[in-house]
Amino acid sequence: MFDLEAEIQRWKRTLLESGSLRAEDADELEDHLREEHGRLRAAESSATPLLSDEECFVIATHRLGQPDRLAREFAKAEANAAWRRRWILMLAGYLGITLAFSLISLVAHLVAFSIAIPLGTSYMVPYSAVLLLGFAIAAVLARKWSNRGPSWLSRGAHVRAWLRTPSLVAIVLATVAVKAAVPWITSVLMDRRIAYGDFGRPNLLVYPQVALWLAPVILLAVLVRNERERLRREVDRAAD
Amino acid sequence: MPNPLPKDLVAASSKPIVLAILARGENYGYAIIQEVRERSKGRLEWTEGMLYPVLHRLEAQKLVRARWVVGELGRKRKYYRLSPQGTRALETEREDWRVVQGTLQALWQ
Repeated sequence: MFDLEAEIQRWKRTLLESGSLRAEDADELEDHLREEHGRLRAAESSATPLLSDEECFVIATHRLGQPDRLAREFAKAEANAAWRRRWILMLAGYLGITLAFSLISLVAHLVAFSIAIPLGTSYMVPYSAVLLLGFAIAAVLARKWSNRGPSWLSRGAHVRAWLRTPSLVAIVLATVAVKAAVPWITSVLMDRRIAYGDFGRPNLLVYPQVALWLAPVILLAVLVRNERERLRREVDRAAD
Repeated sequence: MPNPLPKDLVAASSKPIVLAILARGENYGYAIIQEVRERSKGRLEWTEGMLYPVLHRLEAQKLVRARWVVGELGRKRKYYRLSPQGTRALETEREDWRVVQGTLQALWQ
């Protein structure tokens, strides 16, 4: 049995998976598809229709254009928007990796600290073990989410609001704060309980480090900006 | 039925045609395509989905404004209308196309 709603949703998903359409672009095309389908159905509503519901749907999608061709046209017309999305994804990826590594390292320090001190054992062994376990978990999650990100990230419109500039700045600041907090917390732990020689003096030079962490972001921003300009010029030329 | 026009010509004329249709009042994608089909007597054949990137480009250039309207059945529809800049752009387009038309006519006489 042909299920129009399910087919429309599947068709929309194919469009969105291309990555060059926004959710509202797909909504707009869906409205078009429904109207075309409705008209074809109405024209076929005689006692002995020539076309089935399903055939009307196939014709309507055909008239609208193949999903991959549509996606290409949208990507061409909205090169800026496409680049904005890519650059936000890259930035989010960078921030995600930085945050994840900081958190793993922090957890590893805390675990090692709470094992090594009471038991009087080596700090490095539990620290390395937790670190490796954390990276393994992060790798598994990254693999799982590599195509589309976690489902909660791609759900609904509130995510798009999340990715606007003020929230991005807030995320950058939060990342920097966490990155700065990790050496600070570890240094506090170690200053109190462990002789420096045991593990090595924690690095307190936070500011040059912050600059180092931000450097890839700045580099990425410059590269993306240049590329966007180039693309815009190309699109303008193509449009003229 | 006569042959459809070549692709280049269809692409080049899409902007003035869309602007001219919107100059007659607020409209949405599907109806714009119907209007083009009627007015050109079927000779201007647009791949329907290709209209939307054109509309979005005009929107980005601030030549048209768009708004979403929710219909009776809860269906969302995006309506477009001309902005003041769009009206001026249409005026320029009209001049440009008159030059092309005039030149061809003079040569073909």
